[in-house]
Amino acid sequence: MNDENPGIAFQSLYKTYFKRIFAFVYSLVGNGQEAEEMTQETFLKLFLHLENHGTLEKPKSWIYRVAANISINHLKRRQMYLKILSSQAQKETSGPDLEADLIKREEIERIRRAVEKLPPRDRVILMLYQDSLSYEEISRTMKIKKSSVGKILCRARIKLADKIEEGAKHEMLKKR
Amino acid sequence: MRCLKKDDLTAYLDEELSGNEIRRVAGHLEVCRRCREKLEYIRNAANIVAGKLELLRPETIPDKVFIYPPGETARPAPARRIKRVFRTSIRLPVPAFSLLIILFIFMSVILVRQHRQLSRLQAPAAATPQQAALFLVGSSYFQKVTPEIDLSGFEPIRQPRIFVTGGGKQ
Repeated sequence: MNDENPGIAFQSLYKTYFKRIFAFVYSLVGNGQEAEEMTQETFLKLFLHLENHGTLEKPKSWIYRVAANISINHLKRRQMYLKILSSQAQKETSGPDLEADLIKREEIERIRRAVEKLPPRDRVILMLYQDSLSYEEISRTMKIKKSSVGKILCRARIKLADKIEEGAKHEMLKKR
Repeated sequence: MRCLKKDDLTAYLDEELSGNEIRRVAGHLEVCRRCREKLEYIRNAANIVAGKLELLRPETIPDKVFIYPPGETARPAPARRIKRVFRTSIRLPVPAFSLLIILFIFMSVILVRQHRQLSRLQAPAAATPQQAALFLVGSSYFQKVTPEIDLSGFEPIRQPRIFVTGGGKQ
């Protein structure tokens, strides 16, 4: 992207990627407020970059890379496990079918607990793929080899699937 | 014949292989049951994970994270037009009315005070108009000037302001 006016370039990128980046970050951290802050930080960095350098090649990978780094730093720095659990616990349901909401929330918690057991980088790569990025884009975003993307995804999927099924079986045993 | 690696199978599953690599993997899968089972296992895990990860996505996404992206500047607030305020018929008389009210109160206070001062006069019934008028003047002054006038029957008032010059200095 080579635009003479960084403001216009920024606005165009903002409109294109804002929702995707928010959803991506939210999937990782599980907290709306933190997701907003991290999304804002991502786009602030984008704006500063455009202002200082004026150009941006492959903006999609760049934006995702910034969001991914911010997310990884966030996951490593904070006690995400307790935070995510507490944020889920405080969430109030307002729907008429409270039992269905409760079951859904419990499932989401279970999935989050399983995801937390993955290393932060693997989590991010999994979410990037979930966000429809190709191996090429993921490798550019995370600055890893393209062959490594397949390896990490395979490992992460198998591990996560096992953890999710293990958690589901555990819940079934508890209910009996 | 070497079996396929899991990452090759994953890339094959995700359609991320080139044409030659696809042919290679597909050819191997036709003849290797173990790799077919491995691929099925990986496909199953991928489907479980894809379905579950969708639940982690937000239910609602805000329209904007902040009101004005850094690319835009906030519109400046419209400048206040003081002239316009005075043009309206409702607001025009207010300052003038305020001044009138203040003036009215001030004058009332003065008049009331003067009235009270005048009403406090208790001149003796036998006092002549001139003597009654002298009451308004500090008695010490007039005793000096006109010592022959007996002002003992008169109650002095404090801080008289009205001067009667009828019986002044001689």
